[in-house]
Amino acid sequence: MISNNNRPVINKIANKTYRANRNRNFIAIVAIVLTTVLFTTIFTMGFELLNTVKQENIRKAGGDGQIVLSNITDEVYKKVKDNPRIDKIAYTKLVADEILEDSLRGLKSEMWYMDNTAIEFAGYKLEDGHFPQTQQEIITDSKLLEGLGIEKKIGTSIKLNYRVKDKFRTEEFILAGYWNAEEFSDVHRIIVSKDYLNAIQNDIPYTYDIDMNYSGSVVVYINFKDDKKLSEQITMMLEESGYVWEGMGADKNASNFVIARISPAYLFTASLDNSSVIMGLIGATLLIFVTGYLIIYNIFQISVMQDIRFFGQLKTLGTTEGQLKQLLQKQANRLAAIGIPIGLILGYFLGVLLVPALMQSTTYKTADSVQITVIPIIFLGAAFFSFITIYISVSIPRKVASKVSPLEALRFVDTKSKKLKKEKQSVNGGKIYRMAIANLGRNRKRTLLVVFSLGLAAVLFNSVFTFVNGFDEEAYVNNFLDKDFIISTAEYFNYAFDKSEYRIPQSYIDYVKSQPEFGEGGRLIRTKVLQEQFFAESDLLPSPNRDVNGYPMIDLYGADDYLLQSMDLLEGVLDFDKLKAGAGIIIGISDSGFGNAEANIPIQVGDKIKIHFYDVTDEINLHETAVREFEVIAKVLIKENTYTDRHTGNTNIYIPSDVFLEYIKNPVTVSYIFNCKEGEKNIQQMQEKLEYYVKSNSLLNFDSKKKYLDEFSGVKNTFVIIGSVFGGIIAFIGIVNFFNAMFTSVLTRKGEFAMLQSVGMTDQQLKSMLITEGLIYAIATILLSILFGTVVSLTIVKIVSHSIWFFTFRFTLLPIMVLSPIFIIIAIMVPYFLCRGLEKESIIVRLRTE
Amino acid sequence: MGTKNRISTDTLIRIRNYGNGVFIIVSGGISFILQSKVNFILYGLCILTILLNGLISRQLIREIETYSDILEKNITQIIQDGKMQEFFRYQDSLLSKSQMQLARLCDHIERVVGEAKQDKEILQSLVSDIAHQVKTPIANAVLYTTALQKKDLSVEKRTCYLKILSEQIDKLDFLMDNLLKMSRLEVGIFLLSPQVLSVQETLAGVLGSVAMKAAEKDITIYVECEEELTALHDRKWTDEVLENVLDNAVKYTPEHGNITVSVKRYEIYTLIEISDTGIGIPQEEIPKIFQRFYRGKNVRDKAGVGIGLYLARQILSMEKGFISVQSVCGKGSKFSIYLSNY
Amino acid sequence: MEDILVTRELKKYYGEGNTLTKALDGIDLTVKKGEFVAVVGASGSGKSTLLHMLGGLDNPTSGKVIVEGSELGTLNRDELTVFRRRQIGFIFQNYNLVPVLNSYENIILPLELDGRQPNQEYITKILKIMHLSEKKFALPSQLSGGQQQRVAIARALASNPSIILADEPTGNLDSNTSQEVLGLMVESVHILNQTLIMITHNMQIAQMADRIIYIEDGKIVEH
Repeated sequence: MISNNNRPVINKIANKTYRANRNRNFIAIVAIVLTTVLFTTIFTMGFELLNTVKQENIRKAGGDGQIVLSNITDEVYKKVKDNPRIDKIAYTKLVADEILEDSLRGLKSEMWYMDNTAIEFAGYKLEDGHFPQTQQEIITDSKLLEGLGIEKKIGTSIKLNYRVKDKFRTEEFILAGYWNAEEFSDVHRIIVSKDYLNAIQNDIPYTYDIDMNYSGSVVVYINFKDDKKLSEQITMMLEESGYVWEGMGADKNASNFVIARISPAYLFTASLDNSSVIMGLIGATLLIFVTGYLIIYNIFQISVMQDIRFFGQLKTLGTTEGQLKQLLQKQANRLAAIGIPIGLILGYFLGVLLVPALMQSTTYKTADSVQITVIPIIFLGAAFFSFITIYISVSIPRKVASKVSPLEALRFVDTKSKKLKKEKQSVNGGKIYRMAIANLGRNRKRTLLVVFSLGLAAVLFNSVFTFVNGFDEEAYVNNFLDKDFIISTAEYFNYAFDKSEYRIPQSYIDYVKSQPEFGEGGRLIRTKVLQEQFFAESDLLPSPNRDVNGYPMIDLYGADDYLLQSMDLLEGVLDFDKLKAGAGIIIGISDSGFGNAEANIPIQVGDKIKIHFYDVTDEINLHETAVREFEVIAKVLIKENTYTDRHTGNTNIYIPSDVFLEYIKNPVTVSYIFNCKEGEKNIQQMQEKLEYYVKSNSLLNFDSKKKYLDEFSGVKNTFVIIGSVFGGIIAFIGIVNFFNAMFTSVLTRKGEFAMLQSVGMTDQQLKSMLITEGLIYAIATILLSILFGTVVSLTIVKIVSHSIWFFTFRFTLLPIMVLSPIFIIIAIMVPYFLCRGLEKESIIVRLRTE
Repeated sequence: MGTKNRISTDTLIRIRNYGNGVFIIVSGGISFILQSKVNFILYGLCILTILLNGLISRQLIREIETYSDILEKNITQIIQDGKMQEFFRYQDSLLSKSQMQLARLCDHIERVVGEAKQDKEILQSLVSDIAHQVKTPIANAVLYTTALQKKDLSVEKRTCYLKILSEQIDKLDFLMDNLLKMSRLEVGIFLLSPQVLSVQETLAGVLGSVAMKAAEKDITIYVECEEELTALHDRKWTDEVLENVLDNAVKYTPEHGNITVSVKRYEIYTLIEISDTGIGIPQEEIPKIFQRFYRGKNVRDKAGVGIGLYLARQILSMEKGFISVQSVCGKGSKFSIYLSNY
Repeated sequence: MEDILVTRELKKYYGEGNTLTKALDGIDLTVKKGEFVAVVGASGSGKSTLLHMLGGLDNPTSGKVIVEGSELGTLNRDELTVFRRRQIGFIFQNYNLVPVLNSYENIILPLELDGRQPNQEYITKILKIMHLSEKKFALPSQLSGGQQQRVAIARALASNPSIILADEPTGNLDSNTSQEVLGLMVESVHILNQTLIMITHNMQIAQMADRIIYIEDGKIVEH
């Protein structure tokens, strides 16, 4: 059927009714703005977070590019580069094996040739200068320059010593440009010019397949035009050029085998998990939706109830249900059209302000490099969600309005259409407090609804606060380090202990020991993998590396007694006699956090294992030197960051250091771990001393509980700030809601009050009655909040807390306690002041206007 | 709304079809050239939108054609059977609205036809009534004319006969007069031209002609009317009305009775109240006395054709006034004539 | 003349048990098109309830209301609303004007709700007759009681409904205004052949009707 052309009249009535409803409009717009602000802030932050994470991961990996072909030859490059699937291809070649500058010891530095695409991929934006052109020109990053002590001035000459294959070279380069290094970049590169590359071409032949020497090998980064099905595309691309890779199940030793990898960034395995950010976003969105819904629903529900006679009147005159629904919807739309844009703008700025705070909490401390981008999708998304919230909130009031019976227009009293079944057998109804109760009981549904929605906001606020408050620093820190300090070489803390030649000088350890704050400590010793290796005759130990017999490789450590004594015993007993006799070993199980064993190795205490000791020559050849049998006397829980060289994969096995030193020819001290004397002050002072010490000694470094604590505090503070902001807004919404409920409950009954006063109720009595009503609301709300708040805390929040390892659930009702007096004050003040206002009008006027 | 510069729906459809085709081809081409996955999604969405739009616009046109079809059928049904089928009485749609208007038209026509029929019937009965009434005077006239033609008639008898003859002719005259008035009924009223005139003057005219008849029955007429009072009315026809009412008042009031005429001005109307101490009108009759061709039951024998009050009401109504009556049997009647002030 | 409105065994009960109220207890009523029916009765006798039933404002407990051949009980809510819009003109005791619309807008509201174009000449005429021409753009709060009532009446007339249901339309007016207003209504109704059903306690007014119905305790009684 063709719909009737009666649309304009509804518009007209909507407009006029809109203008007549100033109060409701104001509060509704406030509510809408708040809701939109919340959505926008969340989206802005979430988006920035995701974006930044992705960018930083890419940077961390050293260069953009979906695919990396590592250690290939120029030939491979030439064959592959013209493949039609490729959108962009970046060419890089390592031109030096090692940079031999002492001052750069603490920094992982490499010398590369990178073409322009590669530089673009790596995200190196030159702060000053230009790409290297002449043979002598190089560009590098700020950190490296600082390390070398070189001025960041273009044209400065830089003298570098480096090793290419087995030749040592010295070259004087000229700084052509530099970029600002990211705080956390793993690699600091020195980039040479094409001319230079050509010049030393012959010195850097590709020898990787022979001696695993990196210089001369090419690393190529590729972006495909289609960013889907990367694995298949690699396969196709390589096949077309006549190569194979791991993803095809090919043999590693094949002559046409190429090492290809999909960039981790595109695999979405970021250290700040993308999926957790998305879950967080979804959770927050739901939360905001519920909060917004509560208040907007309330506002419209109250508004509809106030105007019920009007709707009944319209029904009498011939307005259909559909038309009434449209009437309300148009008004809601108008309010949304005003409130949402305001909310978007405010929310955006709030999000922008909060993003840096958020960033500090992660390992990406790059506040300056976070580019705040204005993405339309944030606004569209927030506006969309906000509108959806409004739409859903309005749907029930809309329905109520449309189903009004036309007879409502003829009624004078605010009654429900359902007639009460029982008579009221009482004679004491005239007392003020009873009247107050009866008033609330008149529309039980409405009363409950109001109390419920008010209480829920308080509950939400409480839950958010409880959650945020659950950050447990102790637990966090203990996961990494269970002693006050650990000192070692800088490379150790860079997870590069294995590769470095540098050893901890005894002077470092002595220095620490000589401090008055020093308490007790011990060494952790092991061998260099390239010199001595150990394999255990046991199937029960996992290891990726096996010897010719198929025995798994183990990491054997020697530990000072102090360390052994303080290890966390899982099974067995620390029998020092057996240990000292060289007959016992302790197996270390990694702690996955919170004192839980990550993967318990099935080996039993009491089992006997034979361990084969090997010497390594030429880095590959193994010569067995001894086989010794040990008994497993205990299993302990170890923190990887404390009791290993931070390079794992094999089972960690401990024996006393003296025993270790007996068996091993070339022991290396991994680290020295110690506790300070009791007292915060001692720790503080030791920390300062160590900081000073390593400042002048870039090859050394240290870790402390305090460092982790500080780091974590940053995280905690961020969450507290964000949680408080959100919680605060939610609480504010709850307060506005409460205020609105009180306000309208008085205003709606203006005529009724006038009638009461005309039969003799004094102003004071009226005030008492209303204040009593308000107090009942407030107290009911508070009690409900406490009840539900507790329930929700003990269930949902607790579960969430337990799922995150550095959280401890700390029950609190503080937020509710804080809101309670505010509610009570509003419950008293609003009726009081409204009554004062009413007193100014005469009773007749008030009766008439009803 | 003019229909001159509007584009026909056929043209619109043609534009839509060609436009869609061109758009699909062009965007398909661009999509293909740019060869990006996102483009194909957008392209697909475009096609969907176009399809949806096409379906909807086709459906809209169908609805319009259905609307026209049903109405067409309805009109045919009315002409043939007198009622509509497929009548959507209370739907909030354009069709329903139009059908209701159609139904109204039907009712209107029915009513007019019915009224005309009724009028015809009543007229016929009235004509036969008058014919009946005319018969007697004519018969008498013939009788007395014949009698008068006798040679040796006494002077007294002659005078008497002539008088009777005269009376009969008067009666005939009166009957013819009323017949004439009735036929002028409809035509005359269309020439009504109300103006704001002095009420007192109008009244004065009427009272003059009634006064004599009243005096004959010794009925006193009291008049209260302020000089300046004016009201909207057509003097000539309102004159008729007032005369009619006053006539009736005099007619139905026994001798030595009273008639009071009072004029009062109110916000919107000026009220002329004519009360008498007459025989009154029975309750059940009151609503009926304003009907066309009505003649009261107990006044059949009195001379007069009952078109007076119907006419009176029509006239007043056209002047934006109206008339109402209160009456108690045996005590009297009060006619309230309202004239609009402006 | 045909029947425009018929009720059969119309009953409306409220409450149950010892709170049972029989507002209407079996009303059989037939009204012809163009009739002016006056409904008279003491307060609480059920007059208003009857009017509500006739206008489809409320549903009977049992019995039927048939208007122009359609049984109101078979119409759904929206159909009833459209029925009211097109067939019925209500005049209530407390005017019931929409407070945010001016007089003119209030008068044409039923028309606009149906998407019908108001006949400007006709409306102007009504305004003139009701002496509301100067108050065309006034809001209800700016009108006196009598003026508001006239607006309500104008509204009932403007949409040309078949049936006008009036509940003590002159209840809040002084007797002179009452007469005037009433006269207006009756005349207009007469010209357009509308059916007028009016509740009144004023016998003088009732006498102007074609028929008077007496209601007592929810039933029609003979007088």
